Amino acid sequence: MKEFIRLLKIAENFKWIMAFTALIGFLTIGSSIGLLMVSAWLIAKAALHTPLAFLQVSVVGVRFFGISRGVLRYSERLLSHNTTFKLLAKFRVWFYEAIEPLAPAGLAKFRSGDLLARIVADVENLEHIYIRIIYPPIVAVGIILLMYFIFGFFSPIISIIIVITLLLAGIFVPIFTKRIGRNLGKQLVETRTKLNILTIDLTQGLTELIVFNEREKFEKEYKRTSRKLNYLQFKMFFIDGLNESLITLVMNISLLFTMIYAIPEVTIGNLTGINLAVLIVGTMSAFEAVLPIPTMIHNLETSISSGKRIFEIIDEKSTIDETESKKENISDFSIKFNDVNFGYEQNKIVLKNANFEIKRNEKVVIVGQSGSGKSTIINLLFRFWDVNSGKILFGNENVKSINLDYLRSKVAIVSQNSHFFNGTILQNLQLAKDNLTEVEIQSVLEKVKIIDKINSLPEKINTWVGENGIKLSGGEKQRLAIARMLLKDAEILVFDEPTANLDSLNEKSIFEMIFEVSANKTLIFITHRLLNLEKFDKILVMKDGEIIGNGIPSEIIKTNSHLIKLLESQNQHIW
Amino acid sequence: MNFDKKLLFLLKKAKIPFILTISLGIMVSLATISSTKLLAIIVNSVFLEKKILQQVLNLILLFAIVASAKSILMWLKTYFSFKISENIKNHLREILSSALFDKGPSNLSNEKSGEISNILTEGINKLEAYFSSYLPQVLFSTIIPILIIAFVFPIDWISGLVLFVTAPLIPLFMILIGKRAENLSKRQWKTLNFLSSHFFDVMQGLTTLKLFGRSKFQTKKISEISEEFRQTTIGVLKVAFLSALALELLSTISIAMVAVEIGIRLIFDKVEFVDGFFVLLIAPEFYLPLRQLGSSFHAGIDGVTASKSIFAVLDENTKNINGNVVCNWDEDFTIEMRNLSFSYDGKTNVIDNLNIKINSGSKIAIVGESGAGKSTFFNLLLKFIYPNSGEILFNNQKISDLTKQSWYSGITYLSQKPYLFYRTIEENLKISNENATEQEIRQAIEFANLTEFVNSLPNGINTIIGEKGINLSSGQIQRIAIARAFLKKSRLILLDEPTANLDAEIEDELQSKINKLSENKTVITIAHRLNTVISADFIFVFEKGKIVETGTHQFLLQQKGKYFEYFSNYRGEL
Repeated sequence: MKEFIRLLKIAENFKWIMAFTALIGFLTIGSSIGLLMVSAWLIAKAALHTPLAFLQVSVVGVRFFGISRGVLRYSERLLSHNTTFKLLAKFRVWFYEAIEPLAPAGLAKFRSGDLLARIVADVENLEHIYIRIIYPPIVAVGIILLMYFIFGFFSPIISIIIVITLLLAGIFVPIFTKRIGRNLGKQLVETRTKLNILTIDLTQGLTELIVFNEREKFEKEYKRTSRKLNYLQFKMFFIDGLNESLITLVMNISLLFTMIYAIPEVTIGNLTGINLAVLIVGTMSAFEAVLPIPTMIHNLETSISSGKRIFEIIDEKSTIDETESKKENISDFSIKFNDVNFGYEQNKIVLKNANFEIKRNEKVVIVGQSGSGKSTIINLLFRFWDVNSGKILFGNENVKSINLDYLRSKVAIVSQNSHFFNGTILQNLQLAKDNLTEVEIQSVLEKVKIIDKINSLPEKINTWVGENGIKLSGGEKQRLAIARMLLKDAEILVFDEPTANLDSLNEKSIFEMIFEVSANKTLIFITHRLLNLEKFDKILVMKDGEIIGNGIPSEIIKTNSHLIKLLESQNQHIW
Repeated sequence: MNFDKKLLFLLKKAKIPFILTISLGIMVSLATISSTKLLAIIVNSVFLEKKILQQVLNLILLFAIVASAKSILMWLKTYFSFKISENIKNHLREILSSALFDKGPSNLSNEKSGEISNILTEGINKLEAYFSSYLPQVLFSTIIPILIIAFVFPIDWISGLVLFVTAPLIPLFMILIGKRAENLSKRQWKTLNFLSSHFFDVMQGLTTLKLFGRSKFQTKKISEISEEFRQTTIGVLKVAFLSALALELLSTISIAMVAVEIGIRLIFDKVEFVDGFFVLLIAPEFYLPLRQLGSSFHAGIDGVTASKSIFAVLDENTKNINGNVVCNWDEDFTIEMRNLSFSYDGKTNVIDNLNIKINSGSKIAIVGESGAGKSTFFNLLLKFIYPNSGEILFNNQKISDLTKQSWYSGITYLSQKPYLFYRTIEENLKISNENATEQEIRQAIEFANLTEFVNSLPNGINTIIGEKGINLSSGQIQRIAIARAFLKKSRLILLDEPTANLDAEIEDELQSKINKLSENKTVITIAHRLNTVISADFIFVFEKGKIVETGTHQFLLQQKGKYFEYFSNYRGEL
């Protein structure tokens, strides 16, 4: 529940517009009640042969309510949807501002695209917090009060009857049905998870299932789980459906009690027959206000679990402390790692006693098998995490004292999979630098040898890439990524397995290009494929988080046993 | 109206619940009409006939009974309406999973399997609303108003006429406005799509933004884009809500009209109060089903949309050829391919007139560039796909005549990405041999050099692995696959570069295990290692679906043909 309160606080600015919309909603239902009650009054009066002249006001009233109901409802819907979209913007911005400082460390959990999609869905579903959760009870309470006052004019007892029955319908009925279905939620989640896993088994393990003759056994299990899930879902909907029939029952009970009390009152003259007709009709139309309450409780629960998931992520502390990071003018960008030890988690050190130096303009290659610690060095270089012990220096400055944005403007990286945003090629390039000139763009696209391809496109650099845009090939993507990186004009260029997913022709061409463009910059190249090692000034050989080789290629290739083994194995491959 | 023949066809699977739902819905309506009539009579008795409570008590009692019956009937109707979708969902999942098996893995790209996964989990749920609310609602919105008019007409034909005339206007307006809204949203669809996916795009690329120092500015952009989204969407909604407006207005204005005309006629005694009051009370019920149809409209659209992807999977022609001859692997065998051709798209042959003979015990290596037909060759052997012409024969028997069960029992297939099920290690191994004893399982684990690892786990071989189980490295995953192969002990082994992409040391070790497994077996390998081709009895060189050269490694090098070309290009020297 406290998650819900936290979420509400974010929507605080909207309280007046929300109150206004609730007012309109209240008036909408009020109009239907008005329509029916005035109509009943009109008809009953007419039955007593009251002259038409006396009934004119009620005729106008009926027509008025007939129109106002529709118009009010339309406005209420527009207003509430408008508010919803404003809330959406608010929640998105709030979440983004909370998570931005935590990235990328805080996002490490989202290695799977699914989890990211889910948290985004969680954030975006919060937009419904108003329309589905706050609004219905406010309107319901308003209507209950309204009925209390209106019926109060006729008889205090009857106004109590209507209030009690409305409360019964709005509070006890949903609570009652919730209790019936209380274990269902947990079972549903379990069974749904099981089905999801089996579905993955089916779609991704199909080969194994077929070749190991598991088909029959699997289909049986799948059928069983599917039927169980469908049954549980049926139960859940069915129990939900109880709400409507129970609320109708309570309404009829209300009518019953009203009649039993009111009829003797009419007989002795405290109430008129007209009053009776009006009270009956009023009772029937008031219950519209409590019908949405049961669903609202569901939505409340969903919001709370979304909230829990969201807060779990943004409440985490940042992995780095920026308070002392101020320096913005470093002249020397040589790199030193002094006795660096680091682990992403407690008790699991992935980089041990790293000691090395990279001079300005040096071309360094870091080799080692997956998991040996190569990418970790880069994560520390970019200061996405802080070391457990030891120091990382740029020139004579500890990386901790350098302003983060400044640091990251001086180091650039292209990794295996470059991300391009939905937008034009130009927009993606502009990520690197504002106010790009035509000359700068053409020059860099030429350097990466993609200028011809881009000029061949109908929209040239205004071609849309990303989800609904053209699909660039792996090689083209990497070239663009390198172009983007060059526009940034960093001091240190890092390449983390940039050609891992490419064919050998592209691999060769891009590798050569990398060397061309990093002529007067520091180059750090990470790979597990051992080609062209002699081109580099220095090799760092890594194994299990330690640097076990550090020297010039021509020597190390002969003396480092691990490297020799790796080279031999690579030679086994014929293609 | 959102009707789809194929979807309606599915109703056959839920005939009884559907009929019951409709019948109960009608009964609920009759109960409503009855209780309303009773209310009118009671009020009339007290108001105009001046009766006292005792005189109407029996009517009140009747009202209580009918009202309770109505609630029970409503409850039962809910029960059966959800049974409809339960039955259909059961049926759909079963035929979909069956279809997947029949299609086989070679017809499933990664994209497609993700899509199907989605259909099986989320897509099917979208049909829930279609069958349980939308379809019944469509019927109710015709039947119930007719029912009500049938009761109103005999007692007050004027009011009956008002209802009769106003009712069809509602769907008419809904459709007209609905079409306008649909066109509007179609035009905006691309924009809306971009605007709504922007946030997710930013989240996905957050690290990239940070690397370029742009992440802090994105806040403003998110605000702006969300604002644009709001404006665009409200523009569309304004029109869409008009149909709801029309609906509401028509019904409330009609009720107002009915009230006024009844009032006027009552003054001049042209109609009885009891009848007029009844009509007033029943009028909202008349319009209710039509209004409910309006709100379940989108369920109709969602259902049809979801069903399109479902039927796309089901409609594809899939052969499922299962023979009835049991394959005998116990003795020496020959596998022959005669004039074998296969094409995926019907135009280019990926396998082109292949003629091969393989004797049991031989070690075959297949080489060639990607796309030359190597994997397709395996897919044909594994009966994942069927040849367009020609045959594969096992001891002169067409393999399509053999039972799948017996055929697969003799084949082990090791690929680059073995799949581990979300079950225990033991269960994952037992799929190769249901009757494996605990000792045999331990032997298999030992063979794959997994004993130390398994012993280090708190639950040993009962540890759950797979999708949400403990994380295994790719080397460990291959070891499990090798352990499976050890347990299966089949006579034919197909290898599709299983040790590619593994770290060097592990690759050597696992390759030697595979060699051990291959002793005395027939092995066909898609080769990438030098040692494999050197030790092969035969190398088949594939090019564009044809085998262009065969022979041993030394022989082929001497030929200075295609093989020699590939070899020297990559290696640079000999």
